[in-house]
Amino acid sequence: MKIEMNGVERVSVTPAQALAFVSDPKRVGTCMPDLENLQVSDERHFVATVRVGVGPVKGRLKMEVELTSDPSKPEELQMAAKGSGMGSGMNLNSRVRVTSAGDGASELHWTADAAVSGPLASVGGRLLEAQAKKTTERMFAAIREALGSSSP
Amino acid sequence: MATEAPSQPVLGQALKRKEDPRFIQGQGRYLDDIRLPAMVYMAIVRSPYAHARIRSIEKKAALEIPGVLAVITGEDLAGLGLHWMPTLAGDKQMVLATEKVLFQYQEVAAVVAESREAAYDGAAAVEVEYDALPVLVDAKKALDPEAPLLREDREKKSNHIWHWESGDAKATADAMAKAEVVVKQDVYFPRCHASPLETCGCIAEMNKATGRLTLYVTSQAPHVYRTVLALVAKLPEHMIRVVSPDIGGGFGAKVGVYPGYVVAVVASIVTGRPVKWVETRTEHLASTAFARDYHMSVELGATKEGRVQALRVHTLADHGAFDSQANPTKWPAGLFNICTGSYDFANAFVDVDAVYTNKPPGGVSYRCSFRVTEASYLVERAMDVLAAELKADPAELRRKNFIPADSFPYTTPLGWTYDSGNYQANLDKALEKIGYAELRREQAERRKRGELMGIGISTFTEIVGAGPSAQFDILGLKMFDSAEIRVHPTGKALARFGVRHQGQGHETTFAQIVASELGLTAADVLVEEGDTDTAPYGLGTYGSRSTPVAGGAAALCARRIREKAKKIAAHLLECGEHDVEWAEGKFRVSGAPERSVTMQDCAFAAYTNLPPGLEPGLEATYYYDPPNFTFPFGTYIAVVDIDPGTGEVKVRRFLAVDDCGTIINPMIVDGQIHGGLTEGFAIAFMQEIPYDAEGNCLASNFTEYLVPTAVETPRWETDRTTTPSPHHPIGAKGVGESPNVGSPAAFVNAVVDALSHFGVRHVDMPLTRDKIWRILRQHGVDGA
Repeated sequence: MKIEMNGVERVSVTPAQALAFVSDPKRVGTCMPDLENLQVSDERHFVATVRVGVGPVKGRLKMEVELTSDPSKPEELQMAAKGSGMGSGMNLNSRVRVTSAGDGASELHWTADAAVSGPLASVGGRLLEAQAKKTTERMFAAIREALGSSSP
Repeated sequence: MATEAPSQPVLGQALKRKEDPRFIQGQGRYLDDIRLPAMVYMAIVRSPYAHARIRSIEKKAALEIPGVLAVITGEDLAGLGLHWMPTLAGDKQMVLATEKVLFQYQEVAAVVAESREAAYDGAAAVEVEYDALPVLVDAKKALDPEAPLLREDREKKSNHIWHWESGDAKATADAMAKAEVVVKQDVYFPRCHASPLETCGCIAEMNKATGRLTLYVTSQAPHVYRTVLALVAKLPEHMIRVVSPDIGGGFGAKVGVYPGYVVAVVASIVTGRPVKWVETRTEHLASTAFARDYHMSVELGATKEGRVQALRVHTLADHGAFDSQANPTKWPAGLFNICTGSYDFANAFVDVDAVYTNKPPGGVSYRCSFRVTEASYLVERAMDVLAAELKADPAELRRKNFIPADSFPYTTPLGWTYDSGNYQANLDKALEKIGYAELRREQAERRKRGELMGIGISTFTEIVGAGPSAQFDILGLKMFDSAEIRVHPTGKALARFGVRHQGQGHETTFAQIVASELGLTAADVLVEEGDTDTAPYGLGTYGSRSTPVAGGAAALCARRIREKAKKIAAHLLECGEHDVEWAEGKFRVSGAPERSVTMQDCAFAAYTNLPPGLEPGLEATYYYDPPNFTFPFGTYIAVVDIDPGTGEVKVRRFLAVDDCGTIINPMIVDGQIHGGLTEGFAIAFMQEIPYDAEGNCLASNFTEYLVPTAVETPRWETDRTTTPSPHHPIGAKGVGESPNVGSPAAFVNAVVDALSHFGVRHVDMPLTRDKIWRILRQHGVDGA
């Protein structure tokens, strides 16, 4: 089951500060919703264990996350997450583009594609898309809040 | 002995089922009711991906869970040569995946633990790393050059499994070219599932002291399991005992040998404990034998007057990841060439191409391997498409094309020889009973008022009783069946059979056959099935074969007893054997009917007062190899009303007039028909197992896969005609699957009939209300 999502978050920090935040596993990792455990492997990789519940399927997903950036697109960050648990699998590819919104503020334009397999998709079925959207939105909302409090 | 012979014929009596008192009092003994000392539990780790390479399997976390005893992977089985097993269709199938997985919910590892809960916790803790591969879900894309190759293990580097054809392609093409009218229709019979109340399961008990393996298993064919286990696990066959306890519905889902059974056997050998494995509902729906998934294209050629001339069918069969149907060696598409149905086609040709996809294997449920339902649905739909094209009445078009009653035995252009039939009389009875002419008048009036009413007819012929040994086998085992009868000194009998009932009522009907042949009452005969240590060898219960094959064995075995009893009767009556006749359930002296003895008298004498030279005892065994199949038929008529606002279809009436030859127990026949019609109703209106593009199963539980309750189920009306089979020992034909075979076309024909004035010619099942609602909106019906 493939789910495509996108959104824009306005934050009260400069693009450089916003990009620094989302590129830092320690900081962006803690914004994952329903986080139980975060292990930062290096400056580009972390493993997050999150609680997930979709309809009757409830449990934990272990997400292995890699952050990458393309030198030709310095305003962008890519996040690839591979999750497993509850007999299910999830591949999440997310991209954040940071633009200036003037007055020292910025906008995070994000897109995410999730491919879900296993009971999460087959049993969670019709509830999954709404749940995935809500969870992803919560993550970016958490980033916005965190950035708001870290704004100068 | 003073017991009287029964006062009225035992055959044909609506006796209450002998098995029901224990079932309705909760005293049935199903697989999950069995608890052996020191028993442990097994849970299976399944693939979330439909197609992926396995990078690694980590057991450690699972083994640390309290109560977990062992984690078994495909690599472990590979050491024993058991990571693959042969299927009943001549393919092979992974037991536990080693290199890659080919469908979602495929078996990857197994966890054995002291409790069921610990086993599931352990299964959740096994860490499997996968690399996802491109997924093939659409059978129509299986042969595209860019399609991923699923079965890299095969020599043939293609997703094509086999091609099969039947009939004369050239003569059919010529006849089709000359036909005045040719109709074409693509018809898809969706993937569905029987989903019986009880899922599949087993308990494997390897006794290391005796070296004997007992497998308690939900099996419709216990002897086949024993032989397959002997071949697969290389165990001596006499050291294997397969026990199939009471079964909570099978419908074909309990024919196949599933990987879980093989792993449970290995787990019992490894742990030295009895190992129980029972599927969850999701595991059952998403991994065990499905039904159908047939993409059919039909062409039907006829004269302008509506006389059918040629039938041509091409089919693409989606078999999933492994070809694990249960099919005779020579018949990979089963009996699909029954698709000429009840009609006198001069020419026909059918071919089938089977392909692999990333879906579960199976194709056994609802007589799927034999493909009779698909064939019957196809020709009954095609006849209605032709009727619409010719603006002919579908009942009259059928009548015009029936095989005439005086031409039986009748050989079809695809090679089957129908034993007996009287389609005309059967249709007439149904039309009269439903009030067909009046319904058509009512329909015309309602249509003028914008109301949607439809009448659907299906005049099916099916083929059951697999099968004659010249043509039929499973893995080389000929498809005979067997009976063994022991008459005790007091005239009571024990009858054992190689088939295994799952609710069909054998304990009653087979008792009636034996009692009828021996002059006993059905209460005098105890029927036993399901234990390979005691039952004679048989191929099992599926494909409506029990009555045609084992029922034949029952009658002939009883006659063998009667032959011996006749010698004893002559001794007791002090006359020559040639002076003894069997009449009214007794042996009597020809010309002196007042001098008679009963079977009970003979039974007692068999142990107490034998004629000189005769072997003591009164028992017999009979292996019956049927000379031909039997061909039950019937007329089903559905009357539906469609709500133009919601698309909801209401089945106002449904009449089934079946002809299954000689009736053994009319109440059980009605019960079989009620059940099968309810299945057909569910398939027509609500059931499908769809997959998304990534191969996720989207109907893996009862919130998505619907089973009708008493609330949705229409009221069934039944009636019958009786045309005995000339070759069956008692003239019976078998009935269990007729309603599942014949009814989907009646429902769909009725719905299409209700929409026919919009130009609708076909709608694929399931006919859900949203599908009908969309069609209505397309044609400007807003329901206001």
